[in-house]
Amino acid sequence: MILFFIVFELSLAPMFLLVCNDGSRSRKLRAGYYLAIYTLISGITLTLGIISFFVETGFFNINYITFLGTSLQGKQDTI
Amino acid sequence: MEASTVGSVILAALMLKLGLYGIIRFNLPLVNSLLYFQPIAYSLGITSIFYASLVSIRQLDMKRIVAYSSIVHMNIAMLGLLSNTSQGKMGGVVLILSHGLVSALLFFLIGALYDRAQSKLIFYYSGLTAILPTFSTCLFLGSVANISFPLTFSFIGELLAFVGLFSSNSLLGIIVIMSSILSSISSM
Repeated sequence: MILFFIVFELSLAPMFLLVCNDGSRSRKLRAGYYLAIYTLISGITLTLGIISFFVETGFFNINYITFLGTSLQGKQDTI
Repeated sequence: MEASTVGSVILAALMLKLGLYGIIRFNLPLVNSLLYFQPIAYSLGITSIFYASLVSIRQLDMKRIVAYSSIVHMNIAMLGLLSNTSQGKMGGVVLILSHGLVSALLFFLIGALYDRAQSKLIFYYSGLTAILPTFSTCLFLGSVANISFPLTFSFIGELLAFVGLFSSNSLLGIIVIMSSILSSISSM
């Protein structure tokens, strides 16, 4: 989950460069800033979710077996 | 949509799926909390589908039409995943895969038009099939796949997501099918 968060935030950097450098029209810097702001705000909610998950269970790893007894795990419908 | 063609393709085909990957990987195992947050997720998804469909109907820019219709597709995939049925989950995954192919195709085609004619407004391109027949055939097939017409790959995903939504909540399924018809108007 930590790795997902890190990679999620790192994916902003090449996208920002790609939009700001190779954009076609004059408003490309503004588009890059919109992209950065939206990604960072959604990153805040992801951080809150990870923190609340850690508070609830006490670990960061989503493993099907380790949190089988906690309140988060209900009846599993397999795909 | 001031980004370049490659930026749009990577943004639509890969980065839109980051959130749904997080839902599949981290939210689907937590079934109790998933059921707790299901009503608000359904409401947000339906609102987003209707809003994006209505906005995409009155767009003149071709790239914006594809971008808003991809919002609709991602929301249908999210609703299918959060319906917590096996058909809905499978439909969500298939819809993610098909949207990654179809929206990339459409963004590349529109980018090719923009590089040649410096415009993306849709009314400048009436009668394009007389000049570029192969190109407009590809664009037509891409649009048909984008509205999830039968015999295309995205139809499988959308049908499975609707089946999952119906078995979860039939009223919700009817509403989402209505909004899917609404969103397909924009590609006409």
